[in-house]
This record gives sequence, structure tokens and C-alpha cells, in this order.
Amino acid sequence: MQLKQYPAPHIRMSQTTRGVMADAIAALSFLYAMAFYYHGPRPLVLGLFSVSVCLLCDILCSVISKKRYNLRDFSAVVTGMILPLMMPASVEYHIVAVAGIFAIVVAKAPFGGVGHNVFNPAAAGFSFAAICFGDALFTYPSADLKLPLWKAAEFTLATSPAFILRLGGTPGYDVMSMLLGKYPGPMGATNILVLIACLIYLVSRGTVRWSMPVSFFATVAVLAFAFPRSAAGGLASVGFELATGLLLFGGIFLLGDPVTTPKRELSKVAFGITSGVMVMLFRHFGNMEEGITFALLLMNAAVWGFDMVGERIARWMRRKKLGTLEGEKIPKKA
Amino acid sequence: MPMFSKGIVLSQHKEPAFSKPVLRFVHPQTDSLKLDLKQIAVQTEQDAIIELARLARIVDERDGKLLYRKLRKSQGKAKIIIADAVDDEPYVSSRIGPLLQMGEEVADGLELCCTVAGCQEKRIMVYKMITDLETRIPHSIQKIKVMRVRGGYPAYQQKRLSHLGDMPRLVVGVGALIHLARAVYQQKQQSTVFLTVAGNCVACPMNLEVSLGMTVMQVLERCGLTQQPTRVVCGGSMTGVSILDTENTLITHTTRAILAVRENQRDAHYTCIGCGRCEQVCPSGLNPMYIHRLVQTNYYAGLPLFDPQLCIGCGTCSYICPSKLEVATSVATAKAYALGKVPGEEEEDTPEAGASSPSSTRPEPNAPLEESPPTGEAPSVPEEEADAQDDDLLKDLPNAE
Repeated sequence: MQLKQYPAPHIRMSQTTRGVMADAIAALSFLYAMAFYYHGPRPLVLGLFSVSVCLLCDILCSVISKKRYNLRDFSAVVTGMILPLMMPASVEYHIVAVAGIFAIVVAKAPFGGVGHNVFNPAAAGFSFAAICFGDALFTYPSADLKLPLWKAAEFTLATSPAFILRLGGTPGYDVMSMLLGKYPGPMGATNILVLIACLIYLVSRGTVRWSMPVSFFATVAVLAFAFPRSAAGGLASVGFELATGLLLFGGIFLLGDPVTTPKRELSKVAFGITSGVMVMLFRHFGNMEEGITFALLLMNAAVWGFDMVGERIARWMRRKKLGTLEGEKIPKKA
Repeated sequence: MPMFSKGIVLSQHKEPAFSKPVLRFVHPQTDSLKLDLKQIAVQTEQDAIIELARLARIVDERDGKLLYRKLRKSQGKAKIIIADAVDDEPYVSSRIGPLLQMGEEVADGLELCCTVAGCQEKRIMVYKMITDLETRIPHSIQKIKVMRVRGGYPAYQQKRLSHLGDMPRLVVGVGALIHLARAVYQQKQQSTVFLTVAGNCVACPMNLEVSLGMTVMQVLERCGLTQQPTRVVCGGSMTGVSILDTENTLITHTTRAILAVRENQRDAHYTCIGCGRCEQVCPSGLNPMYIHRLVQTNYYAGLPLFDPQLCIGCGTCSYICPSKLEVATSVATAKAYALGKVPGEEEEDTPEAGASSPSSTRPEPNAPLEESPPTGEAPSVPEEEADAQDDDLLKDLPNAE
């Protein structure tokens, strides 16, 4: 009998890291389907291109650092799928490539690869592209416009509601078209209903904890109500702020990244609230139409602090629960 | 408390072992051992029961303590006696199975404990979240009310005794109660233990009553192996010890199950993605992820913030980990360090340590069968030390708030 020794426990949950990533991929593919419906095959080609760039960079980086590449690790695929969805459907291929390369080679690999990155790769890649290419990322084709595979940038005409809000105006889109995504914007971030369905799916699968997106959106809503950017007043401002730009998409897929967010429920709520405040600060005072990725990158740097404060509170609470706050029952290290 | 977990609900896999009759697989010599009643010279009925429990060398299988010490400690103090049949670990039904089939003996044992403690209240405690049973667990067994523990694994962390409040209680395992009844009414020594044999290599999974000191291999051969197992586990599926030498590992008082499993282990070298699930399920409110990271990087100085000494060793963190990391092992290392043991050094199982935690019941290897009398496994702790250990006996289980 060839027996091996294993540590307890001897049964394991069936879900793996691959399953967690596959959940995100499944949710993202719905957004690609919507983009395909509005803009034709170009979004799918963009997505495939971006995924292959990210995978290639990831494999290359692990070869350089002499690590064995785990083909079951889908994190690069998720990053590659997120990136084009934050951009207009007419974006040029080289912009996607630059964003993908920056995401993997600069934001992910030097920190030690998957699980060790401090900054969200997708947010970092998008921010880098936004700084480099600026306008190309924020001029959108109008909804329902079928795009050709090449030279699609000539079709960028419409201004997005996020840009109108930035100028202090009121976007003239009704609720139904906002919900269905029939307005110019990032190709994955306009379909509000699909995004909400994605959030519900990810939360029900346990991939994303409900606490962080909920606290994040609530903070944004409160701030939008208190300090409206458009003249339409509080409630309309809440709707516009939540529905325009990358806010909903980022709140689900960027904040939902487990690596670059705090772990404890308490820290998660605090992180969500602070991120909401940061995002609204960027929207009010930033010079770009969309600042959520910058806000998240800043917040990512503070995750360790959130975790440590949460850990201290948790230690206080569990010792209080045990009635051993003074430490007489908790054995000290000899 | 919102920050502490309600545990995880595991699929229990108790069938088919649970519904089959509990068979006996005993050594004829040890099975016929009788008590020598001439040694007993006591006045009261309570003392007689305690003395019989001492002579029969009954060990409570739920915590490895000698039953007579527990009885003496609770004599005249405990207000309620609870028979513990909480089999919350998957595959294990070695308490609930005998409970349903030997209900009379369990009731007799409970009655005897009540006599010793001088109280009337008694309950049987079973685990509620077993969904795959073919047999129904009745609401009362021999007119004793059955309490159901709700919530996920580990059930001992659940708030199930809240309506009992701070009532002093004595919790005894079902096996010990059966042996107590046999000792008193049949003058039999405890020479057997109830255990579950299960796993995907076992041809006929069942609950067995096995003589102490038999080898794991004998028990496995009794139930039959359909294929060669890669992992043989002594104890529950969540906390048991994986053993290498089935020929020389013996059945002890606290062996609750033997699992023989074959699995196609694929080497999936995932890294921690920091999903935080281990933190969400930890019943002690620890953060196993950070403890694991500190242990992996040998940064033991950072451990005090994370209180690894509060780990109860339930293994839920490893179970839930989607990256299949050995989180529980790291936390155990950190706990050993926090309690003053040098990491990396092999722990020596003292009798107390082996007996006080059912999870670390590692039978002595290389002990020949003939030289191990069925009663030789009882921990030989001096009385005073044992009394000091048993101080928290009446508050054995965490009280609900």
C-alpha cells in the first residue's frame, strides 16, 4: 500500500482559484455579448487581442523570472478581458496593447505575479493608457453604430454623458436607454442592467463580497445627492453619477479584485466608503472625464493599512468576546 | 457577533455507513474481561458508579479524558447531563449511529450520570445539518429529548445551548455512556470503541465496534478494500491524522473513524489570491491568510497581532481555500510558536496533549499488538495535575452569549 502523508483536513471544497477566475470571465463575457450586439464583431476582436497580449506578457514574465507558468491561472485572461471593456469600442489596437503590456509587465509581474500585486493591473493599464493617449480613450462612437474592424476611430463622434457631466451639463438621455446602454460610453460599462446582473451573479457565487460594492455605491450616491454636478438636482445626479462612466463597472470588477482589496468585512466597508469619496473627488476636481482607476490605484496603496487597522479591531473584539481583554487567559509566548 | 463566522455547512456523506447496523469486531480475549467487584468498598451509590467507571477504565471519546474524573468533578454540581452525539465531520457517524441502535444503553448511562450528579435533566445532542440520511433521527430517544445543533461545521462553536444559559453541565460522549452502562450492569471493562469505516476505497462502509489495540489494517480488511488507498486517515475527515503504517497503528479510545481514500491528486500550484474566505469562515475570528503568509516568510515576530494561539484546529480555513493551500498547517505551526514551541522541531506527544485534543490522537507506532493491553491507552496523569486540567470541565463548551 503506497500511502502518503497529508495534513488535515482531508476533504476540500470543490471550488478552486480557477473557478473564481472563471466566474469573473463568465460575467465579463455577458458584457462582450452586449458590446457585440451594439457594435458588431469589433469588440470581440479587441477582447481576444487584449487577452492574448496579456497572456503572452504573463507567460513571458514567468519565463524571465524562471517560474513555472500555471496554465490554470486565468488571472491574466481576466485582466485582458477587463481592459477593452473600459475603453470605447472604436479604440485602436495599439492602445489596448500598450495598456495590456503595462498592466502585466509593470503593475503585476515585478511584484511577484498573481496574488502579490499591490496595484490592480487592469486599473494601472487603463490609467497608463489614459495618460498616454487621453482623448482617444474618451471619445466614443454613438450607440448602435456597427464598427468596421479597422480604422474605426473615424467614427468617434458622440460625447458621452460623463463628459457632459464633467462640463456641468445635464445628459439628455432617458432612464430606459441609460439602463439598456443605448448611449455613448465605454463599451462594457454602459449596460447598467447587465452590470447589475453580473454583480448579483458574482455575489451569489461568493466571488465578490457584497459589502464593498454596496458601501462604495452608497457613498457615491450620497455624495452625488449632496453635491450634484449637473443642474438637474440631487436625485437625477445620483442616477447620472452611478450610470455614467466606469463607476458601476469599476465598482464590480476593479473593486471586486480580491488581491488588491482588504480582507476583513469591516476593512472592506471602510475601503468601499473611502474609495467612493476618492472617486467623487476625482470627478469633481480631476482633469479627466473618468478618474475611478486613478482613485483605485491610490486606494490600493493603502490596502495594507486598512487590513492592519481591521486586524487590530478584530483582535480587540475577539478578546472582548472571550472575556480576556486583559490577556489573563490568552497564553503568552514563553 | 457579526464578525465571527457561522461556520460552513459541509455535505456530510454519512451514508451508507450510518444506516447499517453497528457490527461487532472484537478480540475474544479482551471482550470477556470482567470487573473485579471485590475491590469496591464504598458507601454511596454515586461512589459505586464512579468506582466502577474507574475500574472499567472508561475514557470519554469526545475529549480523551477518563470518565470517572469527569463524574467525580461534576458530582453534585452538574445540573444537566448531555449525551454528545454531534458528528459534524463528514463521513463520521460513530456516535450518532450507536445512539440510534443502542438507545437503551445510552439512556441507562445518562441515568447513571444523573444519579452521580444528583440531577434530573438530561438531553441528547445531535447535529442538525445532516441532510443525506436515510434514517430519521427521532425527537426523543427512550423518552430523552434530542437537542439539535444547527449551523455549520464546527458545531461546537455554534450558539446551541443558549436556552440552558450558564447551567453547569456535564457533557459525555455516547460511547462512554454505553460503556458506563455496561460496566455497571454487566461488569464489563471498556475494551471496545465505536468507529466509522468509510471512504471511496472501502467496500462496505459501516460503523463498527472494534476492540482497542487492533490495528488499522485489521479493521480495513474487515470492511474490505476495493482499491489501493493513497490516504488512510485516523479520525475525522476534517481533523484526523493521515497515517503511513496501517499495520502498526492501533485503535485507541479516541479513534472516531478510519477513512481510506484514493484520489487523483493533481499538483495545482496556485498562489494565494487573497480572497479572504479563510478569514470569513474562521470560527475563532482569526485571519489565517496573514498567519499563513507570515509563516511562509518565516516572519514570526509579526504573529502576536494575529492571535494564532486561539486556533481550535478545525481546519475550515484549509477546506475553504480555493488555492488549496495548507493554511491550517501554517496556523498550527504559528500556534505552536505562540505557545512557546520552536518551529520546525518535532512535537512530542505527551499523554495529556494526546488525550486532551481529539484531533492529535496519534497512536504509538511500532507497538506490537500483544504487548498493548486494551486498557493500556488510558492516560497516566497524576491526580492533582488531572484535577487542575479538569477545572474547566463544567464549562467545557463555550457558553452562548
